[in-house]
Amino acid sequence: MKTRNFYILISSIIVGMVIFWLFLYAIVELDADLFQDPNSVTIRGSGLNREITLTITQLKSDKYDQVIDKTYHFMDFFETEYDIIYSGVSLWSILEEENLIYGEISILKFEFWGRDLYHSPKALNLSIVKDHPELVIIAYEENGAPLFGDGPLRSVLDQSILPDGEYGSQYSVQMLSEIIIK
Amino acid sequence: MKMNDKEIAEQKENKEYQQKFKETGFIEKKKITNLDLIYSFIIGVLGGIISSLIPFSLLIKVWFPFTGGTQLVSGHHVIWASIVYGLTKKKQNVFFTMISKGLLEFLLGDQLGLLIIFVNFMEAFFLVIGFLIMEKVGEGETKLGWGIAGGFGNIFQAPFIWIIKQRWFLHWSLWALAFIFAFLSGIFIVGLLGRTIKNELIKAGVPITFQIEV
Repeated sequence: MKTRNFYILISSIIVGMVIFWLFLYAIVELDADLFQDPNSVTIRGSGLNREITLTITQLKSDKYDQVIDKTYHFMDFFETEYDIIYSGVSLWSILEEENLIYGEISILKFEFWGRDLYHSPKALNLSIVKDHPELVIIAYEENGAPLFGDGPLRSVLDQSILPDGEYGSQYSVQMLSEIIIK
Repeated sequence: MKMNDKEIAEQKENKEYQQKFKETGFIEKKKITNLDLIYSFIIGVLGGIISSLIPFSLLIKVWFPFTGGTQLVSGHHVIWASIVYGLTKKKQNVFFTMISKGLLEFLLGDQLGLLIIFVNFMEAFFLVIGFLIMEKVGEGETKLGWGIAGGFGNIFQAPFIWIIKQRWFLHWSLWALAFIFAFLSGIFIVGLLGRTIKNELIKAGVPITFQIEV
């Protein structure tokens, strides 16, 4: 084997090993569940008295408050504003109906995590969810059609309820898998 | 006169070379020809349409779950420039191709707005730098040289876009994986695939605009 090809081979092996270990590290460090059912969302964290996993069918049930075809306002990092129509289930109605909250709401915070390990930039105060039950939803439809590539679930917060300096687009977490309340 | 073995071998090699690469089109070393501009703009526009409208990322999302994994196919944004460079061997054409591609992406409503034109310019710049460095070290026409130049051309858009999108809150391992994937995509798609497509186009008789050095 030529020396040059040998170096190429060694470099390829090193890059492959780096990718493998970084991948493993990300899974362990971020506690990723690669085998979680994509059609479900788990709500957990120290602010709750128990963990709950709900499927899309359960989320769509009448047990929880459904928000149908509501227009949500967003702003992205370039401060471009736009509207999207979503249907989903009110997050507050789930927390209330399942009697999940453990502790004082004003000191609890929530954040969204996607299956791709993207998460909302900051943990926000849970009182936002309580005060605006229809403006914080777990969406399953966009413009009347089920969410496809970015779904099947997505967190949606209206820009109007976010603190200054936060962008609604960054809290609209696609492939939603977990909601952590702590 | 009887030819010796060396001459026969040389003749055979020349014949094979001619079969492999037909010398066609306008031969121009420095000046930009009409054909250069036609290649750059047509392939740039084609790249702009394909890059904007075809969701290549779906190929990755199915089996690589983490954010940043789609960088594995990001090389399709830059391959157009490497094909044009291969056909013309003029570095200006890399810029013409990428800027026309960026313009198309902007017109088709890219999320980055006007910034997408700058991103394309940046990709062109680093691809050219990559080819220049590879030529300096004598790897200008090899697979290794094209691969590294392609990787160099594709890697810098990833941190740039992630910084623009203010993704500070994501774990560092996801950043690292995204950049490595961007580099690998550059090697395989921009460099190696671009080189293969260029070679096949030349073999098929597509006119080139540079002088083949035999």
